[in-house]
Amino acid sequence: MSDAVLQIAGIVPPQEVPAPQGLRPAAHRSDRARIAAAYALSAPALLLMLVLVIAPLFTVVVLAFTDYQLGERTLRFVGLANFRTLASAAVFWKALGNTAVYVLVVVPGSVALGLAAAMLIEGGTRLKAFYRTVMFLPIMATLIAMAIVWEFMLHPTFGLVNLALEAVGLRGRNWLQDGDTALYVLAVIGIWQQFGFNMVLFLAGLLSIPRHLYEAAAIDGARSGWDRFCLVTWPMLGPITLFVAVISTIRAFQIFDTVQALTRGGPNKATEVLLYSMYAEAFEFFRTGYAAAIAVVFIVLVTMLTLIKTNLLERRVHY
Amino acid sequence: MAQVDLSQVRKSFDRTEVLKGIDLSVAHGEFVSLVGASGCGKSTLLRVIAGLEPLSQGDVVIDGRNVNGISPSERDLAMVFQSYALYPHLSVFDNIAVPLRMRRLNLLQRAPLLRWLMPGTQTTEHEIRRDVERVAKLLAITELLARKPGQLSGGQRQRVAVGRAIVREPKAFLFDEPLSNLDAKLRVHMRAEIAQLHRELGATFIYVTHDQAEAMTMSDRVAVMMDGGLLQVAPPAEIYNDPQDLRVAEFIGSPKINVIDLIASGDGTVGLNGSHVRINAKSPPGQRVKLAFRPEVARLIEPVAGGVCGRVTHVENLGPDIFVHISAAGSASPIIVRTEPRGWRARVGDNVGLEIPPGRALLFAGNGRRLQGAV
Repeated sequence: MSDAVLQIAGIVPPQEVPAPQGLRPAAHRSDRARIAAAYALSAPALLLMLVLVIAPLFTVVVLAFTDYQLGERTLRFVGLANFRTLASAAVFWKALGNTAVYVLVVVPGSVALGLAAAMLIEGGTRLKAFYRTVMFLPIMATLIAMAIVWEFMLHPTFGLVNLALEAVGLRGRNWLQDGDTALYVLAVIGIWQQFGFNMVLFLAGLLSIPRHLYEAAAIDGARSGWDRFCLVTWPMLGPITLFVAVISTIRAFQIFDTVQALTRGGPNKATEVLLYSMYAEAFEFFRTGYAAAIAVVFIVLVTMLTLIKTNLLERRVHY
Repeated sequence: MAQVDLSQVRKSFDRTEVLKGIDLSVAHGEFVSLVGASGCGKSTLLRVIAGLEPLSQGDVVIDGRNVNGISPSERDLAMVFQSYALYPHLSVFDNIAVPLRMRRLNLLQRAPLLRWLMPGTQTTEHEIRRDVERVAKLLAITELLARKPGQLSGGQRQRVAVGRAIVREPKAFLFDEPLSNLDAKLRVHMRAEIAQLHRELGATFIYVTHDQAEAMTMSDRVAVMMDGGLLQVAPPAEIYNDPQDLRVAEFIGSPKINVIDLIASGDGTVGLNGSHVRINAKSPPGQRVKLAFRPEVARLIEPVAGGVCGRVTHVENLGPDIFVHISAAGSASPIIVRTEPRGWRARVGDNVGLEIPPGRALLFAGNGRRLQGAV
């Protein structure tokens, strides 16, 4: 997505067309005027990008090498000290590990569920718009508000989840306060929140698969739905699936709101994740420089993902 | 190889009846073309035979077995689609191998990676490779086997689609306008190749096209369709020379057959440009009849009183043939006459007469039915 956005925003500079040899100076001048006009037209977008994205990013990277504290008037460059502290902090590694677990659960979960929902809706005959809307609702709702609803549902004594489990004879848990379950419960909420978005993307992808490929598959001997899925649907959705997986991963890395609203990193750091650590360091302990270092680690991870997507995977799913 | 029998096949989409009771029997090894203008239902008929569209009424019988309600994969037919419908993510080799893998390997033997652990996969894959390579050699696409469809030209894709169809020796081949996406030159070339393929395989071919040239040049029999019904099923020469319906006569042949509206009088003659021409057909007096003749049947002569004559409005020189357009009374569109480049050359503005040798013109009733008897 990032490169597409860059192009739409006009950040990718217009390519300079070398003037063919032997042209009269007049032609040369008009070429230069065109190039100047192109830069002038892309300047507003470029300026906004500079002020809103590049400058803050640059500031964060610089802060990561200082001992700056929120509200202080001075700062001191400390080199790699923040990163050294990070590397030796158990909480940071715990947060990184938890984030990884969260991503590894949410991404496959929300991609698979999104694909399944899209295929069910597409294969169905009635109420398509209704199902589409219902499943897309979580993405439209404010996650903080929804998190509170989840908190009620997961309440150990009067929550809907435990009441339902008791009704069928199972013992409920204190889901959000149990170190064994808290992170996975957050992951389930993450899947619930994300899969509707993936579903809409998959729906668009399914619509773009030519019908005659399914007919060819039927003639070629694909009997079951599974055969058709393996032969046509899954390979034809390759580019969309890659896109969905990368978007889901980046969004999963950004998990923060549910942690802040439901567990605040607890119990006993069981749900401590990267962005929550960063937030806590920056705005609760005011160690801005240290928080900036966490942010840099986060940015590097997400950038790596994007690079893997564009350089490695895209070559394998496009035909 | 198989015989395909259709009886009273009807198909409706909502309230529109697209096929109105089709009866057609295609023999073992026969090449039958379904030809007609777009929207006449010929593609729907082919899809009904393939099993891609359920029929509303009637029976489709392949090799004596009623296949109504049987899925396309069980019917053991092969189909070449207009858009080729190649799997874009698979190489040419894998595209051709798909029908073999689907039939010869079970679910586990087709599973990625796991498949090589299954007993029998190796040997079957070996046989599949041999069969695909044999077909590739037959179609001269061996050097394309490693490529993806996106890297092929239209004609090459067409060959791959044919390869995928012939690789598993099905009961019959269905072609849905396979040449319509190719340029004119390649189309003529592929026409010959498909006819040659039919001779080599000796299999049953059902070929849908809107191009009368394809139908006439390749088929054993041509089935002309119009508005969801079959007008005439006959060998190409018979369709051309002895059409049973004016719509067949008008659809087949280029330039189009000439039609002159006439009114029959009671004494077995028709009035033509003020003169009376004796016809053998019995028609009630005052009935409208249509006299039709092919452009190559008529000859240009000096205008004679009482004969058919008119003024030359346009001359088309195609090299071997010259088509002379003549505006004459009784015919709404100009009459077209083919003349040889040698001999007398008509010029625009000339007044010419027309001579139609006895027995060569066709007579149709006002509703388009052929009237037996000649002019």
